[in-house]
Amino acid sequence: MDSTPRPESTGDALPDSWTVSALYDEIRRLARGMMRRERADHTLPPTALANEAYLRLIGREGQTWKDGNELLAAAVTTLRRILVEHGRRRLRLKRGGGVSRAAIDTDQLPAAATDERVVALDEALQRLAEFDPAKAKLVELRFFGGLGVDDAAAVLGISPRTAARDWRVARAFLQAELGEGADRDDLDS
Amino acid sequence: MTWTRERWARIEEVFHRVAEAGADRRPAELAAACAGDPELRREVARLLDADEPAADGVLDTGIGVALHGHDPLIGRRVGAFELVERIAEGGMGTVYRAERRGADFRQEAAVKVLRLGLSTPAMRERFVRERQVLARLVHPNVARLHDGGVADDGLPYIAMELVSGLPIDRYCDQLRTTVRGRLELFVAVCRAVDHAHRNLILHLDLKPSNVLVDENGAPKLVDFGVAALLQDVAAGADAAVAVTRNRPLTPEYASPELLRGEPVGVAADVWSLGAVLYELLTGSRAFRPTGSDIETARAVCETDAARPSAAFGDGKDAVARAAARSATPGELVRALRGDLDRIVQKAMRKEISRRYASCAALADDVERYLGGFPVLARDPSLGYRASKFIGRNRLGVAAAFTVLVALVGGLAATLRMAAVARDERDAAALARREAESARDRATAASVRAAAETAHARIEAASSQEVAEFLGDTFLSSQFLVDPAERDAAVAMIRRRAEQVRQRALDPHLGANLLHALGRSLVRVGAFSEAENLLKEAAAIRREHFGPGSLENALSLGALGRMWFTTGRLDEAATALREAYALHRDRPHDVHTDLALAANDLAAVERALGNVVRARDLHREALALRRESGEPVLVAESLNNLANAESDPAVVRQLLEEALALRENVLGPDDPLTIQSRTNLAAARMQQGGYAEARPLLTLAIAKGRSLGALGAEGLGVALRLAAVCDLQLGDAAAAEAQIEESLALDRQRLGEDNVRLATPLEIRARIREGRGRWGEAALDWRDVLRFRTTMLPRQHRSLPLTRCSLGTALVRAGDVDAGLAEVRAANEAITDSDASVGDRLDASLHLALAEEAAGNVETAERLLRDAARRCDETPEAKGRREAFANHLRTFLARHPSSGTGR
Repeated sequence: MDSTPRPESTGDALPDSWTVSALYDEIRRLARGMMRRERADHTLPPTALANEAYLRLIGREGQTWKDGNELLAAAVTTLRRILVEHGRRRLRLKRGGGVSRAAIDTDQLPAAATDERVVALDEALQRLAEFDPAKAKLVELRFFGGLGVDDAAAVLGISPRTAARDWRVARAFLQAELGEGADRDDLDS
Repeated sequence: MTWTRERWARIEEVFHRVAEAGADRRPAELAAACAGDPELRREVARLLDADEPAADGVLDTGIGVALHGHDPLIGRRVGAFELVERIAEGGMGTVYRAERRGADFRQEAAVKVLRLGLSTPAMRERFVRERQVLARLVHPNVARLHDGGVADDGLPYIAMELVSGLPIDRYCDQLRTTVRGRLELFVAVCRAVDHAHRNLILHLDLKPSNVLVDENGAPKLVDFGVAALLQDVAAGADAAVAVTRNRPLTPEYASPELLRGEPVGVAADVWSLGAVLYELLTGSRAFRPTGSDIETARAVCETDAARPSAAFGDGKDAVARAAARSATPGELVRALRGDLDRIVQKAMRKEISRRYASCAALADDVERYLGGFPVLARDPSLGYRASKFIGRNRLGVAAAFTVLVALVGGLAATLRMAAVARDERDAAALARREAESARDRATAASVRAAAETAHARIEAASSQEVAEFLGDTFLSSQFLVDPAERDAAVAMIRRRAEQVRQRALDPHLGANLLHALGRSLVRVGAFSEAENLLKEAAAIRREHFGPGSLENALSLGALGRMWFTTGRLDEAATALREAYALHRDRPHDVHTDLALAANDLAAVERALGNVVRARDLHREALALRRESGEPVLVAESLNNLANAESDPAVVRQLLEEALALRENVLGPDDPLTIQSRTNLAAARMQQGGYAEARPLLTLAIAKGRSLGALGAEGLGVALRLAAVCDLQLGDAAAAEAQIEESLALDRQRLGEDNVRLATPLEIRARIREGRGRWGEAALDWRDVLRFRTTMLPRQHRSLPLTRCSLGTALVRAGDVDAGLAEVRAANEAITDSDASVGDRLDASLHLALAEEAAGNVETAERLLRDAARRCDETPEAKGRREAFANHLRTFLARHPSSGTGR
């Protein structure tokens, strides 16, 4: 286990990729529950969810969230960060060639194709966030959180109809951006 | 690409306007919107080109597919197993389909890899210990543990039997399983959980997705991998809290105590099973997820779920949910309302102490519901029990009518049918002998279920554990006619007895349990097995508590009752006399014990012919029961005493009170109330109160017809009594209608050629006489005589009297010779019979009138004068003096030439 790389940026808290997929599932589960919630009152601190693994992943001891939406959004952001870190690191290893393959158990990480896509999408999302952070958040929830449009709308507190419109234009933007990236295939090399 | 926010807003606006236009209008829209801004036009066009979802759709589906598609554990070796594919995500980890390959075998398993590492030595130890306990958990409805441990790289895992099936709720919906089918499945689930509890394992995560139903329709509990050990729980609140804290809960199914982090026990699983049952029955959850687990948890802890029947009715998709249960919404609501509502509610009580004590108790209650027995979840109102009893066992109700039969006898005397009364009693005795006597009395005993229930509860209350262990099964088990049912019940009881013996309980508790099980066997009708258990319990009780103990008295009482039931009267008398004496000598703080002892002993004494002793005991039982104030038991004693008292006025008074009590406590429609009404009617008739009796009978007959509460036999008796009333009240036509209906019922029940038709036929004969249809009356009398000749001993007094009636009918119908011959033969036969003086006088009267009709006036006169003189011989005959004097007077008036000087 000692040979597993620990990306420095997230320190010891960063879990391995297996736990990442677990977190992903946890987010889905949480979101499914939220779909059916009553919006009226969310007054109790969601730390009472009492899922230690979950809390360990997405926050520091003692941190609380205003409501389940905030918690979920934070979890998704954490997941995005973890995945992108993983992806960057592995692409670096692949291209850098300086590190022996044996030094990393690549089976524990998402496939390389996913790495590239994750990193590229992350960069496009950062650009989108510069002029439209709300839509960037929507995409983050949809793509990294695996939430449906309605779920994401609920988390963001907007109507499903607005979310669908926003999603359409954001997706168009991202696909245009990523398509451009594909056209410039050899940019990095 | 990057823009300012303002520029992006503009781009966005145009994008939507154009995108929402029809495809053919887009170029025009775009051109119009971007007039004078070619840059904008290019930017929007670029977005529009990218508007469709990408081929791989990854943006829409999310990263999950990529993540799951590349699960790093797939292909990994964990213990002996290789992980093949993901099956499910659980709260504590991921479940994989896995394979183990040997040289000549291939085994599949479900391997659960725990998400949380085992970070502390204590956790590791706990995990290992749990695994060892789970390995012992072998039950057909529990997925077996194959293996478990910590893989080389530190991943804790558990390999379980791979169950290919559907979650129980989806399985049932797909097969459109009926409520009954669902309940049967559910019972199996309860039994499996109970098995785990007996192995000291709590599941704590019971929900439909953890109960799979395989292709054979067998439910399997899965995911015991994170269960808690009862001994951990017992070790203290800390351990229990640790159990709950480490778990991601599914609050919709979790009990309040589990959600609050309080110590948990079997009751937590009882709750979850209740929640599962709720969903199986209604298709909706008792507590719906609110989006926030904490909100859901709060709802579980603080609010009550709607009754299942009510929850069902509310749903918009009610028709679909009912269809999934092969029913209509109305049918389903009716099926759920009542017992099933209560069973679910009792399983999901917030207070642990008010829930079922065990999963077995829950299963038993569901089985009781399925079998038509009273359920424990329902408040044990006796009216309710009685209605269940009637629904299940009509035989018992019929037996209860033996009281009536005796009373009908009394009534008959006033109709100058004293003989009929005795015949009826004889016939009843005969019929009882015909039937297996044990069975008959056993059902009679189960009519006393009310009394026994109260008594059993006292015994149970002496030890909370008794009730918990037995799940109160013995309270409602009943005599089982079906041998298969009985065998199953006996086997179950035998198993429980064996468990008791193996458990090295303290003698008080052990004996109580064996005793209670023995009583169950009596109810079920397995008498020799019952005797063994009761004696075993009695021996323990005598040894530990002494022969003078209450325990010993209760044992003797139970044995005595059983011996009485099986016809071993002498042994029964010995045991019950001793039990009665013991109860008497104890300061009887519990009156019901002594009352029951007196009541039971009375039954034996009566059977032994000690009528006065029986009456005194019933009087004592009644007095005691009046003190304890349980009206249903008081009513029972009133009835029993009425049967033992001889004074008609007293009998009537007792029955009046019994009826009033039952009407008040059980309601007007309860079978016992209706039966009381008939009994009282008979008593009123006995005193000549036909006009008062008739309305009671009208009501009883109406209820008997509409509710079936009396059974065919009971209704027949009520109709017969009504016929007699009508006849006495001068309405022979109405009487005939009643008796015809009664006869039809009797024939349907008994066949055309049954000796028990004698009494109704006699009544019809008298009605026909009353209407002057002597020829038809003679036909009936001939049948009556034929039946009685085959049924009764030759010397029986009623044979010559019946023959006289036949003869008289023939004479009046015009066949004087044949009639006279019958009457003469009867009068000769009567000298050899055990007929009373009154009977002989009656026969003489018949003969006198027949001789008169034949023209033998002198003989007739001599007979009449002789009879009138003999009226002073006995008190019984004295009652006839006036009637015979009248007969003589009218005879002399008809024959003015005779009667000289005598």
